[in-house]
Amino acid sequence: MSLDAAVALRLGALELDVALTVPTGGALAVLGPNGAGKSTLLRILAGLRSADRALVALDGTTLDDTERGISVPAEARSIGYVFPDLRLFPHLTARDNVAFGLRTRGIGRTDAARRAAEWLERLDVARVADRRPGTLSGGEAQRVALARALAAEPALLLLDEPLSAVDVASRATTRSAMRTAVTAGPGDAPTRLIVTHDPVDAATLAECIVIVEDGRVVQSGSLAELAARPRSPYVADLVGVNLLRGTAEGGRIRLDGGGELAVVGRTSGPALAVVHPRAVALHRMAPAGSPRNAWAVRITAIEPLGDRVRVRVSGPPDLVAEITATALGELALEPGAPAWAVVKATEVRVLPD
Amino acid sequence: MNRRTRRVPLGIAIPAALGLAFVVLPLVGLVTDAPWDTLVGSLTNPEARAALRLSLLCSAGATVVAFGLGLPLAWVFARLDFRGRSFAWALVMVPMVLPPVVAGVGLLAAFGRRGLVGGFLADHLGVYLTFSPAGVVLAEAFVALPFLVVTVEAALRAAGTELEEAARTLGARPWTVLRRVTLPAVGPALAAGAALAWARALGEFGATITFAGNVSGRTRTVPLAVYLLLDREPEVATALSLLMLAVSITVLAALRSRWLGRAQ
Repeated sequence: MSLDAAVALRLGALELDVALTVPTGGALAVLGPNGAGKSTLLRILAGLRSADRALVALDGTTLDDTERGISVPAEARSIGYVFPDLRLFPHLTARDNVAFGLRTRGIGRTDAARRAAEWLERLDVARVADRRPGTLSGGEAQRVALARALAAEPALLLLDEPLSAVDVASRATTRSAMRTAVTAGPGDAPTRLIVTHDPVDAATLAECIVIVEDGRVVQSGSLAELAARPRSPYVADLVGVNLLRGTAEGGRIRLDGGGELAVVGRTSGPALAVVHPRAVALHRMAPAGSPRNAWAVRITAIEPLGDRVRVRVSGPPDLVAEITATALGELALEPGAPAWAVVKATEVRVLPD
Repeated sequence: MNRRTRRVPLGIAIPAALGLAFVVLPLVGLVTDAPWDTLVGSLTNPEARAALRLSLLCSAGATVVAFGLGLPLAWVFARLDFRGRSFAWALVMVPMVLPPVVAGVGLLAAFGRRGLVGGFLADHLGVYLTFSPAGVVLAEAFVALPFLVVTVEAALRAAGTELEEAARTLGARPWTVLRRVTLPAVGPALAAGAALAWARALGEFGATITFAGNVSGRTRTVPLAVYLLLDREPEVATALSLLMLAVSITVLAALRSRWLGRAQ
């Protein structure tokens, strides 16, 4: 049993065409830059928006089949939805918000209130049961919204940027509360689909990550798998490595962005070169001797990262170097300054593209 | 620059002060001219009491009719996108700008004894709307309807569809969404729209006298009585006018916070 979805939609500049499967009770994170179509995908799954083509089945029940003209209305789908802006009903107390989905499914007033209170308890916000959403903190409101989505025990839980309304300080505790809450109900844990642009959310709330860019799935796997072989600059940036695309030929890669990269081993054809930022060295002067990969670059940005510093340079190629703060002081580099970037051929990992 | 300390050019200040005086003077006149010592007696005069009773009943009825028809219309205009939407909207707004006498003539043509619908009602059901309190309700509802529709439609648009979507994902069918989410969200606007519609209905003159006539106790509402009594018993007419002014100011005061909120 699983969620199986294949949807396609043209909407202005967006061309969404995504297929994905989540095993029942499992969690999949959809990660991607803004405007990639992630939220639109969730809206289609929830039945809030129609698609040009959609084939969606949840545990064997067809929710959408555009070819056969099937589209189950949103209110008849067993789906819980946590919106990025939460959308709690402002005129109802937290308890009545949580009870809403139970009442619409025919559960009596007393029973619904009792079960709503239990859900607030599970999410550790029982104390706000009688308060209106307007008086809640971001973290409290987020937990009430999650309780509301879970209370009717949906088969599928859609979380759209679930932590965006939560301030940074309470994000970690809210995140762990969410992790325990989704499996804390009396029934089976719902299948989860989490849309986010935060890799930490993705890695902690889901077992598997799908990367969506410009409406397409570009890669999927665990965060470790994505980090090992990122397939797009977005993924590389996300997991913090340099990704250079080009054509390999006889121990060299001719980079698409300009310049060449010497590598170890002989591959040929389209290739992806992964260079860890710590493998990029920076110099003020042209390096002595003849390192095979040395480029004249310009410093574009310097970002502190603990006791180390990330230095972005524009080439070609554009790179991120990670050096110690001491080294930065000795080099006396600042944005706009020219420099030399050096990478040892042995530090370059080459993947076929 | 601070709004309050800003220097105002005389070319603005003088006409603005005149404008204020222009509005205030008739109100002051009403108050100073009023026969305060005979006020209670004037208002308990049988003619005045009949008119007041009729006005209250008919304006309340008109508000109910405007509410029952205007709320669905406002929802349709705010939530649906269909061909001819703006044309239909303009039609519903016509009574707002139409001379009330013309509205009365139109109502006669539709609901009069020989009207499009009125003829059928009279011949088959024995229902006569002209010269009856029901006719007054109809005339008042006709002119009041657009006030309710614009107020509620604006509120529905401002409320957006986000909460309605959330309700749908929680299993709420359309009727439940309307009842438990949409209407509570626009509650204050419903009250404001109803108050505006009621005030407009209460003051209705032209359409009422044209369509329903001026029958004492049956269609002679307060505005009609004021006009009629101004020659015969001017102190009663002034007393009734004063009462209408008080009602208008009360409605305005009730809506004040809403209007101020919009102006800021």
